[in-house]
Amino acid sequence: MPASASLPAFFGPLATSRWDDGARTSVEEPILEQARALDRFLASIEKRAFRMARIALRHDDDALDSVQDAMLQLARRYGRRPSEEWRPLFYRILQNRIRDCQRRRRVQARIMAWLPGLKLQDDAAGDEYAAVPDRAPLPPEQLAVDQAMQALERSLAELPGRQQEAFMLRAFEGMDVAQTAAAMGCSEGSVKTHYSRAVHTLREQLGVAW
Amino acid sequence: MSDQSEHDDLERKARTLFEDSVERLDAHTRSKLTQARNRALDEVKQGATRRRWIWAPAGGLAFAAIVAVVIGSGGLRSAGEADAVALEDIDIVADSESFEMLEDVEFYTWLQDVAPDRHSG
Repeated sequence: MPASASLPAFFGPLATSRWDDGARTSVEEPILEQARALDRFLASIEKRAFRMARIALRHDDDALDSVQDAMLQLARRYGRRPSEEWRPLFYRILQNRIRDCQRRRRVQARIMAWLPGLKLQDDAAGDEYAAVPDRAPLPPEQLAVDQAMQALERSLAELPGRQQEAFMLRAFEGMDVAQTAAAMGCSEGSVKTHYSRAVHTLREQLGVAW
Repeated sequence: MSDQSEHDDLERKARTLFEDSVERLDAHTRSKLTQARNRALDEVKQGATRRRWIWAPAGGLAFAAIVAVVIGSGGLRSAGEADAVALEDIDIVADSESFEMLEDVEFYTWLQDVAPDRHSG
């Protein structure tokens, strides 16, 4: 037997990718399959994740940045983990990004309080979509839905951070207590407490008629 | 209405409103999200490529070690002679210019055949 014939077997995937194009495809296939699975997962949650980040941060660009960072971190650090773990991991990363953004804003607000003459660069840049005309008037039923959602968003924005997280993960994302605890990095008992308090507060703020 | 059913009702209504707002997300935001997703997927593919290149030098070294062992252990030469020849062979293999010599294998085979005849003639 020629010496080269045994080399692919010895070197494993490295040698097969060098010596055999067919085997090379089999080496790359798991990576492509992993990328396809991650694509499906991110596509299934990206819009919901953005809306949750938007509710927490009340700013489109900050919400987009947070979701993008969470996607990149998930792909870089946890892309090779089993796909069942992606959802709680993704939301955990996203909640951390949201908290980071809120902390940055508090620091900026403190600095601005000390230096009232300065204006933040973002504010000075203005809103590039401000000149875009509004959509056509909404039908009354859609208007009522929009107003109800705006009221809910306002009330959610006033909740303490952990209560807000617990409510959104459970009510919006449909996670059970264990999954929510994994995403929030706390005990299941804490999730129940945060969630219950959030619902009570929302009920009080929105009123029985809501 | 009990406390629990009030909770369930609020949760249900909040979820319906949320789903509606997700479905009516504007095209600009959807496009931005797709771009963000594609960047994340590029990261996975580039990461896999990087990992392969990290292992490539290790594979090359392993290959050189195998060649050295095969060359060093072959033949009936004495230990010192074998070491010298093995080092010389590794030099030849490692030197990229020497690969040109392999293209003229037929010439050197012919030269070996005709050289004794020339010496005797």
